[in-house]
Amino acid sequence: MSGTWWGEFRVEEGVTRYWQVGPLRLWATRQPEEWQLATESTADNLANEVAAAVEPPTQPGPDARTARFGFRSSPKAIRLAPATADRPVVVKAASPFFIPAGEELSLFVSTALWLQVRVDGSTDLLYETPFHRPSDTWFGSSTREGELCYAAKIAIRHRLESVPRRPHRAISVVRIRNRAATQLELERLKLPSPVLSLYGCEDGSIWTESVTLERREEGENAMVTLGRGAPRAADNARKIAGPRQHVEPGILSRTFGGLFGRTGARNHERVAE
Amino acid sequence: MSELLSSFGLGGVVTPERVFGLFRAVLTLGVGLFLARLLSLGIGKAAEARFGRQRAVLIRRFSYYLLFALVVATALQQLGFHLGVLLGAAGVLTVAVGFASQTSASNLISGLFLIIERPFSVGDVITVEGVTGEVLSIDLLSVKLRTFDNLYVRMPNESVIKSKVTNFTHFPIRRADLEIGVAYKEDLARVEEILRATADANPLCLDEPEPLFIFRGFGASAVEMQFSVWSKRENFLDMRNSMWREIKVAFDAEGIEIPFPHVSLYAGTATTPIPVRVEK
Repeated sequence: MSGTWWGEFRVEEGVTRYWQVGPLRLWATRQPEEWQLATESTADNLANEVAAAVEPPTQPGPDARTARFGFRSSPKAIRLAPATADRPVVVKAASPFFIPAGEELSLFVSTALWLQVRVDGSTDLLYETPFHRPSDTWFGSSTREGELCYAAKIAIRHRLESVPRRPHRAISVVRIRNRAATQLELERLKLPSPVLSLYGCEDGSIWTESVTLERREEGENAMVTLGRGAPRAADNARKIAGPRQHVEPGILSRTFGGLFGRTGARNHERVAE
Repeated sequence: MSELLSSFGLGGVVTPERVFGLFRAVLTLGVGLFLARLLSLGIGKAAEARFGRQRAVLIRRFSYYLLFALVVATALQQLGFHLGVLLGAAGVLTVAVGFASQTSASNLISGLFLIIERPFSVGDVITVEGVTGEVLSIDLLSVKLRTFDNLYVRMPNESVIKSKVTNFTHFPIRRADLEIGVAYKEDLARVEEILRATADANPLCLDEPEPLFIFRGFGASAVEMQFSVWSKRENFLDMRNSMWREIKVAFDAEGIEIPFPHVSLYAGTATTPIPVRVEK
């Protein structure tokens, strides 16, 4: 991974600029009264390359998504920025993990990012697309009620060093405090991505503010508190994107999720099918 | 004025009191109906805030008819009719009408229960008595559906209450049961792996609830299994279509055979070969 890909880029009329960030390729062409964008995403979520060129090395394929934007006089520069997922992201533990009563520790998760494109002179969002469309997943106590989220393919990591650094994913430090009287079985946790901001480092890594999940009582609820500013682990990070949604600090919500744990619809299925 | 009326030979029938009474009755009717309309609209608006649009419409109609009946009764009183006699006649009429309109009454009551119970609301997609469609309105006597091929179906409330109603839009996620058969020679563990990988790669297919693999048994032509995958309700068709497509592609790539029954042809009772002509 080499360097930052976000920022403002000036493009002359009739010129197509090209970027590759991980699995996503972007072509942006400026015409006198129009901006044309094309994006193509490969299935390889682990792709790490970051490249930018004034002359595109390849052209968009037949599966590329294109969009054209009309202006009285097309703005001279284009701004690229990452954005958090538009739904919460559910991250799973690779193997059963327990946090005894009274204990606390930090875990690390990597979640998918979206690319947002704006033009010079406007804060309005022109175009956005995920770098790699994450899988839908359901987070709730039953199939009758819950929330539609995204599933993170990368499991919860216990050491910061083992979190893969990717230009199209954000790293979050999650502090878990189990203040309840019983042990917490951590199978999965729901990260409230839409309320998180993004901080970028010079080496191209992207971070969210730290998130603290405090379990105060039996069950799956936790008090969610967000840190202020970039996490300590991010060196010289600068804020590069604000949150999608603003929310009150300290939200009590279903975060840990005993989705179809020992009780729930799953067992009924196993009996009757 | 009495002279004028007498000259027409109506002196006895049309007295000034009666004319006055008629005039008062007409006035009562006019003003009363206007007020009834205003009041019922007001009640309707208040009910909408509290009970929702569907019920508010019913409450508004009901209150209008009630007020209408009161206004008419008052107007009739002005004309000199005795209310007691009227009620007696109404009682007899009600019994007669009641017998005649049993079905409609049943539909009406069923409609009320539907509104109270709310197994579905306007905008839901339901199947009732073999008809699938979007609910356009839940009226006094019937439920109106729009089928997906854009036909208008009127379902009497009675049959909706009496029979099984399936609501497709009640729960947020839905499961697609894919029935798959593979050749006997295939390694079932590998088949399950391929199916799970296909579901994993499909973003519309929910990660959780996890896809369910069920081995159904040894069929006549193939080993039968069921692979059940979940999706957001709105994505159901897209997910199912894409899963079928992707499973076929994955099976072809991995060389998994999907058997199908073959039919043998015999040319009549004698087993002579079927003639074939080759053309260049």
